[in-house]
Amino acid sequence: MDLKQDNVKNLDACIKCSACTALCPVAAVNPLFPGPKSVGPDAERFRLEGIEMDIKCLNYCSNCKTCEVTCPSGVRITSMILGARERAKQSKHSDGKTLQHRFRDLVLGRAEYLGRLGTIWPSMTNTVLSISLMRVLMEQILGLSRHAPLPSYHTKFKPQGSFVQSDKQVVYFPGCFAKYNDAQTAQAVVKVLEHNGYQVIVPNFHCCGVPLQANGYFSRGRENAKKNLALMEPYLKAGLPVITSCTSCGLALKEEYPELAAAGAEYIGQQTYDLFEFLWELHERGELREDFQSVPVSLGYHAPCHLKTQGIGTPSVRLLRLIPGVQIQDLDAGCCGLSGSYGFKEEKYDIAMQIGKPLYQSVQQGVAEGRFQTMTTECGGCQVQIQHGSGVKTEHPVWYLIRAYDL
Amino acid sequence: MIDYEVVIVGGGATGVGILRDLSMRGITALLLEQGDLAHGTSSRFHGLLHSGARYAVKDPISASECIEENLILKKIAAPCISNTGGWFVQTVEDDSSFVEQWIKGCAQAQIPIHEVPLSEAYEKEPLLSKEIVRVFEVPDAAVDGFKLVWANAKSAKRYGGHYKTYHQVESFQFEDRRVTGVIARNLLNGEMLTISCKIVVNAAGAWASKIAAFAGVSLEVICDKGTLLAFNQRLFQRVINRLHTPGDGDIFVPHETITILGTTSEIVDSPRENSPLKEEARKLLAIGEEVLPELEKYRVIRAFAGVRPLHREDSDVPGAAEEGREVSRTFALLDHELRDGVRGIVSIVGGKFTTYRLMAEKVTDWVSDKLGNATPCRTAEECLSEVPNTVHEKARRLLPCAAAEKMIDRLGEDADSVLAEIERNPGKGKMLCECEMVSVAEVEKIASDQDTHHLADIRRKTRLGMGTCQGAFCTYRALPLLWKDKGKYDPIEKELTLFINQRWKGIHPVLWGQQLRETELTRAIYASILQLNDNRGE
Amino acid sequence: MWDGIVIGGGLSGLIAGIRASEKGKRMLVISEGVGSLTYSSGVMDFGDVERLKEEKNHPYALMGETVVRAGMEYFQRLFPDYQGAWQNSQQVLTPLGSPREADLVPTGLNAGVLQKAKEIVLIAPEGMKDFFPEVIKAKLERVYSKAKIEIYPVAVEAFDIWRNSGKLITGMDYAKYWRSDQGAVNLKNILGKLTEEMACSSSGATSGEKQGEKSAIIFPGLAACFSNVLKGVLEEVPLPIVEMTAFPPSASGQFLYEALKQKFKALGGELLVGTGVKKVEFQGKRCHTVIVKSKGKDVTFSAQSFILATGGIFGGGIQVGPKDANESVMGLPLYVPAQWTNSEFLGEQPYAKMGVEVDPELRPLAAGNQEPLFDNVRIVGRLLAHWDPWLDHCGGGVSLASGWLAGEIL
Repeated sequence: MDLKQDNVKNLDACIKCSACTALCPVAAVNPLFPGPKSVGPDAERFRLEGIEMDIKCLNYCSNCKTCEVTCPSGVRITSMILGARERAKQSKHSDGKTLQHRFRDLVLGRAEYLGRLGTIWPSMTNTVLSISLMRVLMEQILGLSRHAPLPSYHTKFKPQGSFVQSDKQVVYFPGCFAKYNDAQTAQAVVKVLEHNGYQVIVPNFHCCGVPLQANGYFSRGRENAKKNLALMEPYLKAGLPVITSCTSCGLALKEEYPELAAAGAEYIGQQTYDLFEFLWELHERGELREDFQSVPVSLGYHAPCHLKTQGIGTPSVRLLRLIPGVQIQDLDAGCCGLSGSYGFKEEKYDIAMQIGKPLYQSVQQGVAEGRFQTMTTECGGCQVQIQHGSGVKTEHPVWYLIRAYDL
Repeated sequence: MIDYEVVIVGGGATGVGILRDLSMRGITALLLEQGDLAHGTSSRFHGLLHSGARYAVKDPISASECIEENLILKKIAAPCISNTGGWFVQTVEDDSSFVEQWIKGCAQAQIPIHEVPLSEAYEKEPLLSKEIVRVFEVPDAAVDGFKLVWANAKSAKRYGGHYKTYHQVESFQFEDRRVTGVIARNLLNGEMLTISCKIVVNAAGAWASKIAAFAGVSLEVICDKGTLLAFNQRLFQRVINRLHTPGDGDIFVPHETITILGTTSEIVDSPRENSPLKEEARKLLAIGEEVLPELEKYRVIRAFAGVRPLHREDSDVPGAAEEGREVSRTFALLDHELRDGVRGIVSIVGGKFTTYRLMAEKVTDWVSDKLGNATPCRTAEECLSEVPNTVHEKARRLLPCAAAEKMIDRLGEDADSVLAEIERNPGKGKMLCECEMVSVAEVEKIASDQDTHHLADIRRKTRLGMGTCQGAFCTYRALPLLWKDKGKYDPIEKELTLFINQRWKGIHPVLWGQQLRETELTRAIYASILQLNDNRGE
Repeated sequence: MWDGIVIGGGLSGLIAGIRASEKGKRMLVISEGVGSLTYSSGVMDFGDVERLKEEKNHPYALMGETVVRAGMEYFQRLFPDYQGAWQNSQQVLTPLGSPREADLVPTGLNAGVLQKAKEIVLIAPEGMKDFFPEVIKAKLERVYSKAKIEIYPVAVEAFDIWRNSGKLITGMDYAKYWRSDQGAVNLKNILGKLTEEMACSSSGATSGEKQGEKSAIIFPGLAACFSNVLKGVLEEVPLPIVEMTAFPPSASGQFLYEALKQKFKALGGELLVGTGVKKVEFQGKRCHTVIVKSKGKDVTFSAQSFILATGGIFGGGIQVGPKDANESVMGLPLYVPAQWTNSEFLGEQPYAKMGVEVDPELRPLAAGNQEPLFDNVRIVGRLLAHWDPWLDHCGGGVSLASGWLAGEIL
């Protein structure tokens, strides 16, 4: 089956039911976005006729992929939209961005360079970022919303896992957020894996490419992906699992990397695991260390959009429920609104906050009613945004394993 | 005192072509059509604007006529034509000696062809079977029957021509053996109408023998039913023909957002026998699969059938062999005075959609001659419609790109009034038909036209309900607009049911796969949510 | 290892999941996308149970009236906001304004009160998609000929930009707005002003009649069900407010879907949406594992029991090609009628009764005999053979009864 035939059948599957648009978090709040059905499968039939649509409409899609999860017909709506965005960018038409926004997207697309810069002297960076005058300037020069919860920078994650030597090995792909903004979480992931007897290998990966793509730099995104694949290839060939703790990186590795024409692409989808997906499999095989101490805590859980898209369920909820004392409930209250770097942009900040509102309210209500005290979610972006929107502390679920294992 | 110099019977491409030509030459004319314009054969074909290459071996005269008309229509009817180009593909099954004959035939008819390297062919048409041996490019194109007929009608109207739809001819008036008038019934309200005239032109296509009979003239039209399939999307970017002796199911034509595969051929008794059958659909898929593998896995949104009126001159009729009677092998102009001794009536039979203009020209020449009008024909030079650039710009500003261009192609200069409405009320710029991108304002405009009576009339003029959902959603949205200014809502449920049943005629023969899912959604909407099959509450 | 896996997350699948979870089972629901509830009107139709339970092979006949009743009562226990019963049908308004019968109805949709009304105000939210106030008014005037019908346009400032930019405002958008903080306040003001106006205009009416007994408001695109805030607002209005069912996708259906998901998750169930089942593994007469198409690789889930709630043709549980029809997940034998269609589109369509034949415990039967193929697989909802929800108006009934039964005996 070649790609073209596959695409034809995928578009044929759309029965125009509009469920995607009815449940699209962006369409619900943005009057300028006609919704995924309209810019996805509806417009696709016209694109095949050579009629492209206004790229501005395409740019409003936040790439959260809720539409793909929602679609009862399995239509790859977001992929259609991203594909159209890429073609529109290649064609002679303008991408509809101002010079300022183009520069801003160049910066946001490079979470990696930002990270490297930020982690050279993190306290300095954080101080600068926290000065409101600076944020006003950034908004005016860069188009980064002054209200947006830009993550703070910490000392760059340097894997310290070389102590454990084992014949059980995994590769860990920390992702930019853990690497530059949240090295402690990355370290926690390594500790949990080591506690289970794994040697954790962390090559010096590049950004997974998602931010580049989301900001319109498709070919550069693919270049990054190929570089990463090259770093992983020997391990993949040896059959090592690749573990991600960021759900967006995980999705890219599982969904997009296998489509690259590069060595290793044939293994990467099969061998990539979300951290908790991996741990759950250990549990099912009876190989997980379950020497848990009681952790008396009530948690609200938010499933990141890109975890939902992976189609593995919510293994962290399952796993944390194994820990004595942990109470956890899945809020299922929609997208947090940030979608990577979407919510950092001045023209999209308000949209992002509106998108996330039902979630923030659900979080606040849960806390007010005493159903839980803190939030947990895998995605770094979601953590920042939920905390910003609801004021409730939000952490990666790996921290409860750290406490349970007393590491 | 006469009402019109000429009455034309039949509102297909030929009829409206004649109306336009007559009107341009200053001859007063009225066209009578029993249904809506283009409801018959002119919209029930594959929509191929022939380059003539299909006839290059068997029928060189047709081939030459086609290429000439092809070039003329691309010039005068550009908005109705999508200049896709076409390919003839030879599969491993096809006879190579035919290919050589074909190349020669094309050269003789002056049809430009050139061979396309296979690598290029697969790059441009990735779905093409890997069993292809040779590929040739020809100047085929896709033509929209609805648009072309309406563009002719509107142009004729601007020149003073008249037409009445939903008017069925019931008899003629005579003086001696001369037809002097037409008696017709308005099918919408039952009123009878008498129109006196000097000449009647019988351009009724598949119904031509019935019309001729009113003049006491016998005329044999063979009804050749052809079934076609419409696929949900553009599978090919250009017309794909099989390079072999023309047969069933060997043409794919990309049409706007869809692809049409045709055609079967079966002699039937009456033009009313135009229901597609499941066996025909399966047969088409089986043949089409030789060009596009796994064809049955692609979504067919409907099947439809038209009846081609083939003319067979009866050699027993006196004077049948007289020179000048047979205009060409493809169509015939029958002078009933010469042929049957009845004056004041002429029939135009046979022919192809691609040569409609030429047929109209010949008929109009004959009529002009009878009436002593010496104005020359200008239909080969004058465009059907011209839309100023400012309208294009305005449309692109107010509507999504796809909707803007499509609307202008459909409506011509009338697009301006729709745009003005959207400017006044931006809400009207939203899409009513989301599959084919038809705006609320456009449907409103068409619905308010005097000659729009049914949802199907809106469909023919706009493509409403012709896309993926086949009317599941837009039918419901369009009806209130159709009734808006008419102050009565009573028939709304009846009309909904009528339209859905019409659509069903074309869906049930292809009821599988995704279209069956769509059908279940449609049943859920109309039977459960709207409860049109149950009025327990009342 | 799960106690039970439900394949398909529509009405019957979620009901089965909820019932089994409630009984302490660890349940996983796997669903390709959102179920059909999003398109439904949110009301439950049971059809003519007395007739259908006598109809050979109909799921009602198979399960028996007691189970049908149990399904209905269970749903009402889960959602006390739903009124009615199949012996006590309620009236609701279709999107075209016709009253029609429905058996279980969210309180706000009950249109029975309109029969006595002398004055009906039809709220017309401006620019709402798929809503045609004039058509509805004409219909209402015919049906409620004693009442004066008036259209009352309501414009919401929050949607001004939507209207000006030509973006469609769906009933779902309005419904979500009304239940937001700002929307609820606005709703209170709008209804307050309207009732005041109505009170003034009818002050000359017969004394002794209370306003609420002769006037009513029809409010499309409200969908107050499951929102305590909205219920609070509506309780303060002295007039009856009647909602309308909506053209799909519908807010009432969607909110019911959300409520079912919440119930299921609150009971500890896990929901995996957006992923289809690729393959199922069996051993003897027992199914033990499902293989799911997750991104990049296949993921396996094992369980003691399985419930197949994948829907029929529409839901994707049955795939039909030009030559054959297949049950998508387990390749179960299907009942396929010989005659396929009829010419009246909205009449009986034989193909619609295609489905999996089961024993009274909903286990799929082997082709041509009455023996269950598997001991731990049960079929629920639209995938069952020998019924047509659109002809017999019994979609809610069969889904609830079979879902409940499967959850109960899991």
